Amino acid sequence: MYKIFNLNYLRVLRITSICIFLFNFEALAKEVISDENKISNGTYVYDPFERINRKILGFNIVFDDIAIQPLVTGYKAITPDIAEKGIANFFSNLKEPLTSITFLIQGDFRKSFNSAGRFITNTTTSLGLYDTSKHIGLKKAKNDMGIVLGKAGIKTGPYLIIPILGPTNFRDLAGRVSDFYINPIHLAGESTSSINSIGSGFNSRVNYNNELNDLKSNSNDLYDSIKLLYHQRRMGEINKDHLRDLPVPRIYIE
Amino acid sequence: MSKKFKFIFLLIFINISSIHSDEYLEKWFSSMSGQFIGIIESENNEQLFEDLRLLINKNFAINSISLSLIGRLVNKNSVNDLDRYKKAFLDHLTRNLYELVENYDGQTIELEKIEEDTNGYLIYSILKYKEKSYSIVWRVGMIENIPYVLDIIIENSSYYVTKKSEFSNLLRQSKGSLIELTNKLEEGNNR
Repeated sequence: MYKIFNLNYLRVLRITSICIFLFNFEALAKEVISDENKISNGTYVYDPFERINRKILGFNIVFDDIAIQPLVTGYKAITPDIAEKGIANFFSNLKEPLTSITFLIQGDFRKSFNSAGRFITNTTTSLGLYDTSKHIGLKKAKNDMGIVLGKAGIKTGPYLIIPILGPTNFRDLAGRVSDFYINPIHLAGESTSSINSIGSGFNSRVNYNNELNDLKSNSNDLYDSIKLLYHQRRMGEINKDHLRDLPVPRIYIE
Repeated sequence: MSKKFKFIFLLIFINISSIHSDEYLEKWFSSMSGQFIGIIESENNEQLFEDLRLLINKNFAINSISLSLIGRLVNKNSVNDLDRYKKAFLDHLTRNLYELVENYDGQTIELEKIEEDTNGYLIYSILKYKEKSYSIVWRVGMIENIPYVLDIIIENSSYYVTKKSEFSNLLRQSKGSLIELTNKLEEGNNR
Protein backbone atom coordinates (compact mmCIF):
# COMPACT_ATOMS: atom_id res chain seq x y z
CA MET A 1 0.00 0.00 0.00
CA TYR A 2 2.84 2.34 0.92
CA LYS A 3 4.65 1.72 -2.35
CA ILE A 4 1.53 2.03 -4.45
CA PHE A 5 0.68 5.31 -2.77
CA ASN A 6 4.12 6.80 -2.98
CA LEU A 7 5.25 5.69 -6.43
CA ASN A 8 2.40 5.02 -8.85
CA TYR A 9 -0.12 7.41 -7.36
CA LEU A 10 2.35 10.25 -7.04
CA ARG A 11 3.61 9.63 -10.55
CA VAL A 12 0.06 9.90 -11.88
CA LEU A 13 -0.49 13.10 -9.91
CA ARG A 14 2.75 14.60 -11.25
CA ILE A 15 1.96 13.67 -14.85
CA THR A 16 -1.57 15.04 -14.47
CA SER A 17 -0.32 18.32 -13.06
CA ILE A 18 2.24 18.74 -15.84
CA CYS A 19 -0.40 17.95 -18.48
CA ILE A 20 -2.82 20.44 -17.02
CA PHE A 21 -0.32 23.26 -17.09
CA LEU A 22 1.23 22.28 -20.45
CA PHE A 23 -2.15 22.42 -22.13
CA ASN A 24 -2.77 25.86 -20.66
CA PHE A 25 -5.43 24.97 -18.19
CA GLU A 26 -7.45 28.15 -18.28
CA ALA A 27 -7.62 28.30 -22.06
CA LEU A 28 -8.76 24.69 -22.11
CA ALA A 29 -11.38 25.30 -19.47
CA LYS A 30 -12.70 28.37 -21.31
CA GLU A 31 -12.88 26.49 -24.57
CA VAL A 32 -14.80 23.51 -23.23
CA ILE A 33 -17.33 25.43 -21.15
CA SER A 34 -19.96 26.71 -23.49
CA ASP A 35 -22.23 28.47 -21.04
CA GLU A 36 -20.57 30.10 -18.05
CA ASN A 37 -23.86 31.30 -16.60
CA LYS A 38 -25.20 27.78 -16.35
CA ILE A 39 -22.03 26.77 -14.52
CA SER A 40 -22.13 29.67 -12.10
CA ASN A 41 -25.67 29.11 -10.85
CA GLY A 42 -24.97 25.56 -9.87
CA THR A 43 -27.52 23.89 -12.10
CA TYR A 44 -25.19 22.66 -14.80
CA VAL A 45 -21.86 20.91 -14.50
CA TYR A 46 -19.73 20.37 -17.58
CA ASP A 47 -19.34 16.61 -17.74
CA PRO A 48 -17.94 15.33 -21.04
CA PHE A 49 -16.56 12.19 -19.40
CA GLU A 50 -19.87 11.11 -17.88
CA ARG A 51 -19.75 7.55 -19.22
CA ILE A 52 -16.35 6.77 -17.79
CA ASN A 53 -17.08 8.77 -14.63
CA ARG A 54 -20.19 6.65 -14.00
CA LYS A 55 -18.10 3.48 -14.33
CA ILE A 56 -15.50 4.79 -11.91
CA LEU A 57 -18.23 5.81 -9.44
CA GLY A 58 -19.67 2.29 -9.72
CA PHE A 59 -16.23 0.91 -8.87
CA ASN A 60 -15.83 3.40 -6.01
CA ILE A 61 -19.20 2.43 -4.51
CA VAL A 62 -18.37 -1.29 -4.65
CA PHE A 63 -14.91 -0.59 -3.20
CA ASP A 64 -16.48 1.54 -0.47
CA ASP A 65 -19.09 -1.12 0.38
CA ILE A 66 -16.50 -3.90 0.56
CA ALA A 67 -13.43 -2.22 2.00
CA ILE A 68 -14.23 1.17 3.55
CA GLN A 69 -17.75 0.92 5.00
CA PRO A 70 -16.91 -2.10 7.24
CA LEU A 71 -13.85 -0.19 8.51
CA VAL A 72 -15.94 2.92 9.19
CA THR A 73 -18.67 0.90 10.94
CA GLY A 74 -16.11 -0.94 13.08
CA TYR A 75 -14.25 2.29 13.88
CA LYS A 76 -17.46 4.05 14.94
CA ALA A 77 -18.53 1.06 17.04
CA ILE A 78 -15.33 0.81 19.07
CA THR A 79 -14.37 4.49 19.29
CA PRO A 80 -16.08 6.59 21.97
CA ASP A 81 -17.54 9.88 20.67
CA ILE A 82 -14.98 11.94 22.56
CA ALA A 83 -12.07 9.98 21.05
CA GLU A 84 -13.62 10.21 17.58
CA LYS A 85 -13.87 13.97 17.99
CA GLY A 86 -10.25 14.14 19.21
CA ILE A 87 -8.97 12.19 16.20
CA ALA A 88 -11.06 14.37 13.85
CA ASN A 89 -9.56 17.47 15.49
CA PHE A 90 -6.05 16.03 15.17
CA PHE A 91 -6.29 15.57 11.38
CA SER A 92 -8.15 18.84 10.98
CA ASN A 93 -5.31 20.59 12.84
CA LEU A 94 -2.74 19.08 10.46
CA LYS A 95 -4.51 20.90 7.61
CA GLU A 96 -3.97 24.33 9.23
CA PRO A 97 -0.40 24.92 7.89
CA LEU A 98 -1.60 24.28 4.33
CA THR A 99 -4.63 26.52 4.92
CA SER A 100 -2.29 29.25 6.21
CA ILE A 101 -0.06 29.02 3.13
CA THR A 102 -2.99 29.07 0.70
CA PHE A 103 -4.39 32.20 2.39
CA LEU A 104 -0.91 33.71 2.08
CA ILE A 105 -0.86 32.93 -1.66
CA GLN A 106 -4.32 34.51 -1.90
CA GLY A 107 -2.94 37.63 -0.19
CA ASP A 108 -5.23 37.28 2.83
CA PHE A 109 -2.63 37.81 5.56
CA ARG A 110 -5.12 38.07 8.43
CA LYS A 111 -6.61 34.66 7.71
CA SER A 112 -3.16 33.23 7.06
CA PHE A 113 -2.01 34.34 10.54
CA ASN A 114 -5.32 33.07 11.97
CA SER A 115 -4.69 29.54 10.62
CA ALA A 116 -1.03 29.57 11.66
CA GLY A 117 -2.13 30.74 15.13
CA ARG A 118 -4.68 27.96 15.33
CA PHE A 119 -2.08 25.35 14.45
CA ILE A 120 0.41 26.63 17.03
CA THR A 121 -2.22 27.00 19.78
CA ASN A 122 -3.91 23.64 19.21
CA THR A 123 -0.63 21.74 18.83
CA THR A 124 1.01 23.22 21.93
CA THR A 125 -2.04 22.93 24.17
CA SER A 126 -3.41 19.52 23.15
CA LEU A 127 -1.33 18.10 20.28
CA GLY A 128 -4.23 19.13 18.08
CA LEU A 129 -6.70 16.78 19.77
CA TYR A 130 -8.82 19.67 21.05
CA ASP A 131 -9.76 22.91 19.30
CA THR A 132 -8.46 25.24 22.03
CA SER A 133 -8.04 28.15 19.64
CA LYS A 134 -11.78 28.64 19.08
CA HIS A 135 -11.99 29.81 22.71
CA ILE A 136 -9.53 32.63 22.01
CA GLY A 137 -11.33 33.89 18.94
CA LEU A 138 -9.36 32.04 16.28
CA LYS A 139 -12.13 30.55 14.20
CA LYS A 140 -11.58 27.72 11.75
CA ALA A 141 -11.45 28.83 8.12
CA LYS A 142 -11.35 26.48 5.15
CA ASN A 143 -9.08 27.05 2.18
CA ASP A 144 -7.11 25.04 -0.37
CA MET A 145 -5.47 25.66 -3.73
CA GLY A 146 -8.67 24.66 -5.57
CA ILE A 147 -10.46 27.51 -3.81
CA VAL A 148 -7.55 29.89 -4.49
CA LEU A 149 -7.66 29.01 -8.22
CA GLY A 150 -11.45 29.45 -8.22
CA LYS A 151 -11.21 32.85 -6.55
CA ALA A 152 -8.57 33.82 -9.12
CA GLY A 153 -11.21 33.30 -11.82
CA ILE A 154 -10.01 29.93 -13.16
CA LYS A 155 -12.98 27.90 -14.41
CA THR A 156 -13.82 24.42 -13.19
CA GLY A 157 -13.12 22.51 -16.38
CA PRO A 158 -14.64 19.05 -16.85
CA TYR A 159 -16.05 17.12 -13.92
CA LEU A 160 -14.07 14.01 -12.98
CA ILE A 161 -14.36 11.05 -10.66
CA ILE A 162 -11.03 9.64 -9.52
CA PRO A 163 -10.78 6.00 -8.45
CA ILE A 164 -11.06 5.74 -4.64
CA LEU A 165 -10.61 9.50 -4.11
CA GLY A 166 -14.00 10.48 -5.55
CA PRO A 167 -15.41 13.60 -7.24
CA THR A 168 -13.35 16.55 -8.46
CA ASN A 169 -12.86 18.68 -11.57
CA PHE A 170 -9.83 19.85 -13.56
CA ARG A 171 -9.36 22.94 -11.41
CA ASP A 172 -9.68 21.12 -8.11
CA LEU A 173 -7.41 18.35 -9.35
CA ALA A 174 -4.74 20.93 -10.17
CA GLY A 175 -5.41 22.38 -6.70
CA ARG A 176 -4.97 19.00 -5.04
CA VAL A 177 -1.64 18.45 -6.82
CA SER A 178 -0.45 21.91 -5.73
CA ASP A 179 -1.69 21.28 -2.17
CA PHE A 180 0.42 18.15 -2.08
CA TYR A 181 3.61 20.00 -3.00
CA ILE A 182 3.14 23.08 -0.84
CA ASN A 183 1.86 21.35 2.31
CA PRO A 184 4.51 21.90 5.03
CA ILE A 185 3.47 18.63 6.70
CA HIS A 186 5.33 16.85 3.90
CA LEU A 187 8.59 18.33 5.18
CA ALA A 188 8.23 15.92 8.10
CA GLY A 189 9.00 12.97 5.80
CA GLU A 190 7.22 10.67 3.40
CA SER A 191 5.79 8.31 5.99
CA THR A 192 4.28 11.20 8.02
CA SER A 193 2.91 12.61 4.80
CA SER A 194 1.31 9.28 3.85
CA ILE A 195 -0.18 8.79 7.32
CA ASN A 196 -1.59 12.32 7.14
CA SER A 197 -3.12 11.76 3.69
CA ILE A 198 -4.67 8.39 4.53
CA GLY A 199 -5.75 9.47 8.03
CA SER A 200 -7.40 12.67 6.91
CA GLY A 201 -9.09 10.88 3.97
CA PHE A 202 -10.48 8.23 6.31
CA ASN A 203 -11.53 10.87 8.80
CA SER A 204 -13.49 12.76 6.09
CA ARG A 205 -15.19 9.50 5.13
CA VAL A 206 -16.15 8.89 8.79
CA ASN A 207 -17.52 12.44 9.07
CA TYR A 208 -19.71 12.06 5.99
CA ASN A 209 -20.80 8.49 6.76
CA ASN A 210 -24.45 9.27 7.52
CA GLU A 211 -24.77 11.69 4.62
CA LEU A 212 -23.28 9.21 2.15
CA ASN A 213 -25.52 6.40 3.35
CA ASP A 214 -28.59 8.68 3.13
CA LEU A 215 -27.61 9.59 -0.39
CA LYS A 216 -27.10 5.94 -1.36
CA SER A 217 -30.54 4.96 -0.10
CA ASN A 218 -32.50 8.09 -1.12
CA SER A 219 -31.13 9.18 -4.43
CA ASN A 220 -32.74 8.09 -7.68
CA ASP A 221 -29.50 8.87 -9.51
CA LEU A 222 -26.55 8.71 -7.14
CA TYR A 223 -24.08 9.87 -9.79
CA ASP A 224 -26.03 13.02 -10.52
CA SER A 225 -26.66 13.78 -6.84
CA ILE A 226 -22.97 13.45 -5.93
CA LYS A 227 -21.97 15.60 -8.91
CA LEU A 228 -24.35 18.41 -7.98
CA LEU A 229 -23.60 18.27 -4.26
CA TYR A 230 -19.86 18.42 -4.93
CA HIS A 231 -20.21 21.27 -7.41
CA GLN A 232 -22.52 23.35 -5.20
CA ARG A 233 -20.36 22.84 -2.11
CA ARG A 234 -17.26 24.04 -3.96
CA MET A 235 -19.17 26.97 -5.48
CA GLY A 236 -20.21 28.01 -1.97
CA GLU A 237 -16.65 27.78 -0.70
CA ILE A 238 -15.37 29.97 -3.54
CA ASN A 239 -18.13 32.53 -3.83
CA LYS A 240 -20.04 33.77 -0.78
CA ASP A 241 -22.81 35.13 -3.00
CA HIS A 242 -23.34 31.72 -4.56
CA LEU A 243 -26.67 31.33 -2.75
CA ARG A 244 -28.08 34.48 -4.31
CA ASP A 245 -27.28 33.15 -7.79
CA LEU A 246 -29.13 29.87 -7.31
CA PRO A 247 -32.34 29.35 -9.27
CA VAL A 248 -35.53 29.80 -7.27
CA PRO A 249 -38.88 28.04 -7.75
CA ARG A 250 -41.53 29.98 -9.62
CA ILE A 251 -44.26 31.19 -7.27
CA TYR A 252 -47.68 29.49 -7.53
CA ILE A 253 -50.65 30.09 -5.20
CA GLU A 254 -50.33 27.86 -2.17
CA MET B 1 -37.38 70.81 1.10
CA SER B 2 -40.51 68.85 0.41
CA LYS B 3 -38.55 66.39 -1.76
CA LYS B 4 -35.95 65.98 0.99
CA PHE B 5 -38.66 65.35 3.52
CA LYS B 6 -40.30 62.74 1.28
CA PHE B 7 -36.93 61.05 0.78
CA ILE B 8 -36.21 60.93 4.53
CA PHE B 9 -39.74 59.68 5.21
CA LEU B 10 -39.28 56.97 2.57
CA LEU B 11 -35.94 55.91 4.10
CA ILE B 12 -37.46 55.68 7.59
CA PHE B 13 -40.46 53.79 6.22
CA ILE B 14 -38.25 51.29 4.36
CA ASN B 15 -36.14 50.76 7.48
CA ILE B 16 -39.17 50.29 9.73
CA SER B 17 -40.88 47.92 7.31
CA SER B 18 -37.71 45.87 6.93
CA ILE B 19 -37.31 45.70 10.73
CA HIS B 20 -40.94 44.61 10.98
CA SER B 21 -40.58 41.93 8.33
CA ASP B 22 -37.33 40.71 9.93
CA GLU B 23 -39.00 40.50 13.33
CA TYR B 24 -42.01 38.77 11.84
CA LEU B 25 -39.81 36.28 9.99
CA GLU B 26 -37.69 35.73 13.10
CA LYS B 27 -40.80 34.81 15.09
CA TRP B 28 -42.14 32.64 12.29
CA PHE B 29 -38.78 30.87 11.94
CA SER B 30 -38.40 30.33 15.71
CA SER B 31 -41.86 28.82 15.84
CA MET B 32 -41.27 26.57 12.81
CA SER B 33 -37.79 25.40 13.90
CA GLY B 34 -39.11 24.88 17.46
CA GLN B 35 -41.88 22.64 16.14
CA PHE B 36 -39.37 20.89 13.89
CA ILE B 37 -37.06 20.09 16.83
CA GLY B 38 -40.07 19.07 18.93
CA ILE B 39 -41.14 16.59 16.26
CA ILE B 40 -37.62 15.15 15.92
CA GLU B 41 -37.54 14.48 19.67
CA SER B 42 -40.67 12.30 19.34
CA GLU B 43 -40.14 8.63 20.27
CA ASN B 44 -42.92 7.33 18.01
CA ASN B 45 -41.44 7.06 14.50
CA GLU B 46 -44.77 6.75 12.66
CA GLN B 47 -46.14 9.79 14.48
CA LEU B 48 -42.87 11.63 13.77
CA PHE B 49 -43.32 11.09 10.03
CA GLU B 50 -46.95 12.24 10.08
CA ASP B 51 -46.18 15.33 12.19
CA LEU B 52 -43.26 16.20 9.94
CA ARG B 53 -45.48 15.93 6.86
CA LEU B 54 -48.05 18.28 8.43
CA LEU B 55 -45.34 20.79 9.37
CA ILE B 56 -43.86 20.69 5.85
CA ASN B 57 -47.29 20.99 4.23
CA LYS B 58 -48.01 24.06 6.34
CA ASN B 59 -44.68 25.86 6.00
CA PHE B 60 -43.23 24.82 2.65
CA ALA B 61 -44.41 26.15 -0.71
CA ILE B 62 -45.25 22.66 -1.94
CA ASN B 63 -47.18 23.89 -5.00
CA SER B 64 -44.41 26.26 -6.08
CA ILE B 65 -41.56 23.80 -5.48
CA SER B 66 -43.21 20.73 -6.98
CA LEU B 67 -44.62 22.49 -10.05
CA SER B 68 -41.38 24.40 -10.72
CA LEU B 69 -39.50 21.09 -10.66
CA ILE B 70 -41.45 19.79 -13.64
CA GLY B 71 -41.47 23.06 -15.63
CA ARG B 72 -43.58 22.97 -18.78
CA LEU B 73 -45.22 19.66 -17.87
CA VAL B 74 -47.57 21.66 -15.62
CA ASN B 75 -49.59 22.68 -18.68
CA LYS B 76 -49.50 19.25 -20.31
CA ASN B 77 -51.08 17.20 -17.54
CA SER B 78 -54.52 16.89 -15.99
CA VAL B 79 -55.37 18.36 -12.59
CA ASN B 80 -55.74 14.84 -11.18
CA ASP B 81 -52.27 13.81 -12.37
CA LEU B 82 -50.79 17.01 -10.98
CA ASP B 83 -52.51 16.48 -7.62
CA ARG B 84 -51.22 12.90 -7.42
CA TYR B 85 -47.71 14.11 -8.29
CA LYS B 86 -47.87 16.91 -5.66
CA LYS B 87 -48.92 14.43 -2.99
CA ALA B 88 -46.10 12.06 -3.98
CA PHE B 89 -43.65 14.97 -3.90
CA LEU B 90 -44.80 16.03 -0.42
CA ASP B 91 -44.20 12.48 0.84
CA HIS B 92 -40.84 12.39 -0.95
CA LEU B 93 -39.73 15.68 0.65
CA THR B 94 -40.97 14.51 4.06
CA ARG B 95 -39.08 11.24 3.66
CA ASN B 96 -35.90 13.11 2.64
CA LEU B 97 -36.07 15.35 5.72
CA TYR B 98 -37.13 12.49 7.97
CA GLU B 99 -34.11 10.41 6.95
CA LEU B 100 -31.89 13.41 7.40
CA VAL B 101 -32.94 13.97 11.01
CA GLU B 102 -34.00 10.56 12.36
CA ASN B 103 -30.53 9.71 13.72
CA TYR B 104 -29.90 13.09 15.24
CA ASP B 105 -32.01 13.54 18.35
CA GLY B 106 -30.72 16.21 20.70
CA GLN B 107 -29.99 18.71 17.95
CA THR B 108 -30.69 22.44 17.99
CA ILE B 109 -31.29 25.03 15.29
CA GLU B 110 -29.91 28.51 15.93
CA LEU B 111 -30.90 31.51 13.86
CA GLU B 112 -27.85 33.44 12.61
CA LYS B 113 -29.21 36.22 10.40
CA ILE B 114 -31.91 37.13 7.92
CA GLU B 115 -31.06 38.73 4.59
CA GLU B 116 -33.44 40.08 2.00
CA ASP B 117 -32.79 39.45 -1.68
CA THR B 118 -34.67 39.84 -4.93
CA ASN B 119 -36.38 36.46 -4.49
CA GLY B 120 -37.50 36.92 -0.89
CA TYR B 121 -35.44 36.19 2.19
CA LEU B 122 -32.47 34.03 3.10
CA ILE B 123 -32.62 32.82 6.70
CA TYR B 124 -29.20 31.62 7.81
CA SER B 125 -29.20 29.07 10.62
CA ILE B 126 -26.87 26.56 12.22
CA LEU B 127 -27.96 23.06 13.06
CA LYS B 128 -25.92 21.78 15.99
CA TYR B 129 -25.63 18.13 16.85
CA LYS B 130 -23.14 17.00 19.49
CA GLU B 131 -19.91 18.81 18.52
CA LYS B 132 -20.82 19.07 14.84
CA SER B 133 -22.56 21.98 13.20
CA TYR B 134 -24.12 22.34 9.77
CA SER B 135 -25.04 25.52 7.96
CA ILE B 136 -28.67 25.53 6.81
CA VAL B 137 -30.06 28.42 4.79
CA TRP B 138 -33.83 28.59 4.30
CA ARG B 139 -34.97 30.47 1.23
CA VAL B 140 -38.31 31.95 2.15
CA GLY B 141 -40.78 33.67 -0.15
CA MET B 142 -43.79 35.72 0.89
CA ILE B 143 -46.84 34.35 -0.89
CA GLU B 144 -49.93 36.46 -0.17
CA ASN B 145 -48.07 37.89 2.84
CA ILE B 146 -47.48 34.45 4.35
CA PRO B 147 -43.91 33.13 4.55
CA TYR B 148 -43.28 29.81 2.83
CA VAL B 149 -40.01 27.87 2.51
CA LEU B 150 -39.00 27.69 -1.15
CA ASP B 151 -35.67 25.90 -0.75
CA ILE B 152 -33.37 24.49 1.91
CA ILE B 153 -29.65 24.94 1.29
CA ILE B 154 -27.61 22.59 3.48
CA GLU B 155 -23.86 23.26 3.50
CA ASN B 156 -24.21 25.23 0.23
CA SER B 157 -26.19 22.48 -1.51
CA SER B 158 -29.65 23.48 -2.62
CA TYR B 159 -32.45 20.91 -2.31
CA TYR B 160 -34.33 22.52 -5.18
CA VAL B 161 -31.33 22.53 -7.55
CA THR B 162 -30.48 18.92 -6.70
CA LYS B 163 -34.07 17.76 -7.20
CA LYS B 164 -34.44 19.79 -10.41
CA SER B 165 -31.52 17.91 -11.91
CA GLU B 166 -32.69 14.55 -10.56
CA PHE B 167 -36.27 15.01 -11.83
CA SER B 168 -35.04 16.27 -15.23
CA ASN B 169 -33.00 13.08 -15.63
CA LEU B 170 -35.94 10.89 -14.61
CA LEU B 171 -38.26 12.75 -17.00
CA ARG B 172 -35.72 12.40 -19.81
CA GLN B 173 -35.59 8.65 -19.20
CA SER B 174 -39.39 8.39 -19.22
CA LYS B 175 -39.76 10.67 -22.28
CA GLY B 176 -41.46 13.39 -20.26
CA SER B 177 -44.10 11.24 -18.55
CA LEU B 178 -45.28 12.83 -15.29
CA ILE B 179 -47.15 9.64 -14.43
CA GLU B 180 -43.93 7.62 -14.57
CA LEU B 181 -42.13 10.21 -12.43
CA THR B 182 -44.99 10.03 -9.90
CA ASN B 183 -44.84 6.22 -9.95
CA LYS B 184 -41.10 6.37 -9.25
CA LEU B 185 -41.63 8.81 -6.37
CA GLU B 186 -44.39 6.64 -4.88
CA GLU B 187 -42.21 3.55 -5.28
CA GLY B 188 -39.41 5.31 -3.37
CA ASN B 189 -41.82 6.57 -0.70
CA ASN B 190 -43.12 3.04 -0.03
CA ARG B 191 -39.65 1.50 0.13
